[in-house]
Amino acid sequence: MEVKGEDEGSNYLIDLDSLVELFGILSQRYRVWAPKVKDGVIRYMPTSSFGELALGYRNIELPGYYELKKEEGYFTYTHPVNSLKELLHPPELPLMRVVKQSSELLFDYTMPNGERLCLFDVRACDLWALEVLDRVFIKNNPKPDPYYKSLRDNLFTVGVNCSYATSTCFCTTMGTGPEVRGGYDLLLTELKEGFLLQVGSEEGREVIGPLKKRRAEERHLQEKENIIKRTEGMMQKDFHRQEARERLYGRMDETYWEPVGKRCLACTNCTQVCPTCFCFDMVEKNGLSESYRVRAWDSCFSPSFATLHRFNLRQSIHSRYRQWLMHKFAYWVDQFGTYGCVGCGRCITWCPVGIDVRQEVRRIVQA
Amino acid sequence: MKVGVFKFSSCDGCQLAFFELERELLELSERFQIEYFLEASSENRWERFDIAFVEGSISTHDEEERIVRIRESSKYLVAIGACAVSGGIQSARNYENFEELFRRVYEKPLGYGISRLSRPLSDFVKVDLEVRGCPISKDALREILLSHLYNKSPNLPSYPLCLECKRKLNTCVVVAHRQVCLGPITVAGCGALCPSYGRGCYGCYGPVEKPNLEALLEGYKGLMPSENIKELLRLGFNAYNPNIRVML
Repeated sequence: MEVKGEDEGSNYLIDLDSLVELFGILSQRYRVWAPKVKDGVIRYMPTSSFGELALGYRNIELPGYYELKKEEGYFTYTHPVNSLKELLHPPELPLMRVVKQSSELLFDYTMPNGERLCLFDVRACDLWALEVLDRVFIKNNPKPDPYYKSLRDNLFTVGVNCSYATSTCFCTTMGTGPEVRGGYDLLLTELKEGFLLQVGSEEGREVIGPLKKRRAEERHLQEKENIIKRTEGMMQKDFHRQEARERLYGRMDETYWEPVGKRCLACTNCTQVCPTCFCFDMVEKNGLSESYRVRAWDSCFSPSFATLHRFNLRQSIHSRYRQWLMHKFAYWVDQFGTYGCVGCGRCITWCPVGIDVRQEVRRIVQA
Repeated sequence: MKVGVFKFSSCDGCQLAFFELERELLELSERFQIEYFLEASSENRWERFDIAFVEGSISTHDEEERIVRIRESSKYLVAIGACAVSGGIQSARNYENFEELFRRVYEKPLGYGISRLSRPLSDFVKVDLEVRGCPISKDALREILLSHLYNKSPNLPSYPLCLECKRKLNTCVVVAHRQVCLGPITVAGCGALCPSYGRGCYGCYGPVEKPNLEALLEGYKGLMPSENIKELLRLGFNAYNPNIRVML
């Protein structure tokens, strides 16, 4: 993963007032998306003031279960229920408008408006997901996607290290966290004395220029290490990902997949909440005088996904589940050089019948 | 193009989608001649139809004959709404003792032959397109009309409601609010109306192709006993849908 660079002497300690001030600076420079509480969950949303942030909450997550509780501290939750995919690869993005004027057709191509965006409070798994999406849409794409790229080029990220993991978190298994190791402009870690602020880019340095801050000391960095170790200890290593990948290729036979096919509703929820599932459909929305071409989220669990010439190549639910899991944990590596899964666990929490992808990988690999 | 709009056992609600198109309907009527539409006009001609839109379920002997005649007169037959597609709310009787139920409601026999079952059009004739919903949306209707105009396949969803619900950025009411929601096995198209207001989907758009009901009953055990969920389906708008009836 590409690291924007964390050089010596870029570590500061700030207090709560400075954090509030930092948020104020960000709000002036960027359109800020940050975690807020809505409908009883934490969700990335446009945010204009520090007071709106979902600070001091704890998300309790189990397979098919989510609950929010109050907690002492600030960044005490893990990640929001939605991911940065929603910002960079919107669920419905109009690409083109066609208007009929007299007898002529006029084509109006819509591009994102180029405003500067800031994603505040991004955890290690989601920063990794950002790299995964970058490879899909730009870096490993022979035709880099201009829509994604224009949003991406305008994105500023503030990472946060997790001091807690839910029962559905498995970033250690996927090797993506809990420590934020790169891809950020600024990085925060909540310590006893304040907040450790680390700089990851020139733009980040510029942003914190006017901020009241002091140099972080060795013990602050040590405390950060300890926090990350403690968070790591809250998760178990579910499987060995390289081994799992190799063995999965020998497990294509349907007998391995039928048990999960019996439990899966093919509802598409796992793919929609996944920060890296990028599949989309091109939808023509026709009207009488104007039409739109819209890029909309799709899912490999949808019956129309693999339908060619009116025939669905993946009739059974188990074959769709196989496609999804194999892509995430095997094919993706051949395709893009990373795993498609970042271990955020959203697919486990938001599966309405609580299917745990970690268990499925283990079951299939060990069979 | 000649259009006929017909109705059988139903509430007339789906036909209202035509009127909801308002100004657009007037514009469309330059290309589509509405030849037969009892609810809209007192002048009706029954000859040949390019498109027949049919609302309602087949629940009398007379209706069984009439739907065959409509099919014979039409090039393209569209079933509109849960009654025509699945049998409607009135198909709840299909799971009861018909004679007993009838006696409880009516003192004397009716003046027409009522069938034991309320059934979808597809039990009697070939249906070219099914439009889901109770009622259908005007957007679906516009899409079908325009598709004929542009000579393309209508783009109606076959995917589950959850996909539409997540595209609308809703929070899952099952996971976050412990509500029973039929979204995972229900076809999209309503704009995820109920979950957008924090309540579970009750399946008025009917089942997806091959719904995994067994998995839903098993997975929702902690929310509601399986028998109660089955009861909800039996009393729902799509109880007699070919994809649901085999599982109840």
